[in-house]
Amino acid sequence: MDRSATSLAQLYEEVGPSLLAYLDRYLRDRHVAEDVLQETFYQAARYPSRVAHARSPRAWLFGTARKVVATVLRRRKTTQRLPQELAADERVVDPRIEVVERALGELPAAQREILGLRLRCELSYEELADVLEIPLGTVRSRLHHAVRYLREKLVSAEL
Amino acid sequence: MDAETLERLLMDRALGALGPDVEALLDEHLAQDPEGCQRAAEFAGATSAARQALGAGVPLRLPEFPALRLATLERTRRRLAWVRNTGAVAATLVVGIWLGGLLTSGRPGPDTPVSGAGERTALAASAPAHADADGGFWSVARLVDRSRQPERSRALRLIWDSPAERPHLGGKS
Repeated sequence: MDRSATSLAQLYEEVGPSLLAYLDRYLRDRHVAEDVLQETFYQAARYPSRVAHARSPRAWLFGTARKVVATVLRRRKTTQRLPQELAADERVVDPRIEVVERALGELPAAQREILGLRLRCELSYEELADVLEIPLGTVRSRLHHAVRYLREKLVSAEL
Repeated sequence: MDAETLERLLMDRALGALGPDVEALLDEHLAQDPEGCQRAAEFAGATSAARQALGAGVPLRLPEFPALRLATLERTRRRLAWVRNTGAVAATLVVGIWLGGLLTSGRPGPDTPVSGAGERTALAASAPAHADADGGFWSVARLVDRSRQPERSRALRLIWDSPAERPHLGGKS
């Protein structure tokens, strides 16, 4: 393997797990998530200079993965919606988590996605702005709206 | 600190986006603000529950790095780059030779003396359609005058009639 392939393999080890977790959560299909992950790194190998010149390679990979997901979903001609999937999730046992899952399902898709990217994948605000191609102020306001909503739901449920 | 600013800071802290310095200052403030402290706990509880709901921290087995597929891609990319570069060089050569032939055939060269009426007619025919007979850059009169300029101006001219030949200095062909 040459230098770029080595650095790509390193990036795969670093970013791969959180990216796969995001894709798995988003697509609810492990095999498709792995395909999208591979396609994302295929794109990175195809355009190494884009990854090298990106402000954050991690943000570039997440942004590319989102575009690949959009293509996959278009091809499937399905509109996967997280709320229903979350409501049907069998892992829920804690009543607090149950409330939060329901609240997550009620959030606008954009707020739900950004919250997942922040809490699950731990992307910084700057990286989120790059991935979602939105201003930093919008990142902050979407996250704040989402967190405020979750808190209100928990408080009103007295949990 | 107003309530709105405090709330924003509390949410940023719950999201893990505050720097240690700001967090220390916020803790100092919260030590004297029990209501703010309560809200901070609520925000932290909400994000903590959301982390669990989103499955944060659940390990996923990463498939092996697709090294073989990427190596194949790299080889293909290099081959394509070589073909593209070679093609570009060949195309440049062909266009250069073609242009050279076009410029040297059937047209009076820059150092061909023009004096008679026949040459004027030839120049008029080779001038563009928008040529102005009375004046202007492409006018016949200007081209004739240009051909009658003193030898000095042509003495050190670089003559390159065709890309297939080497250029040389001189005023007369």
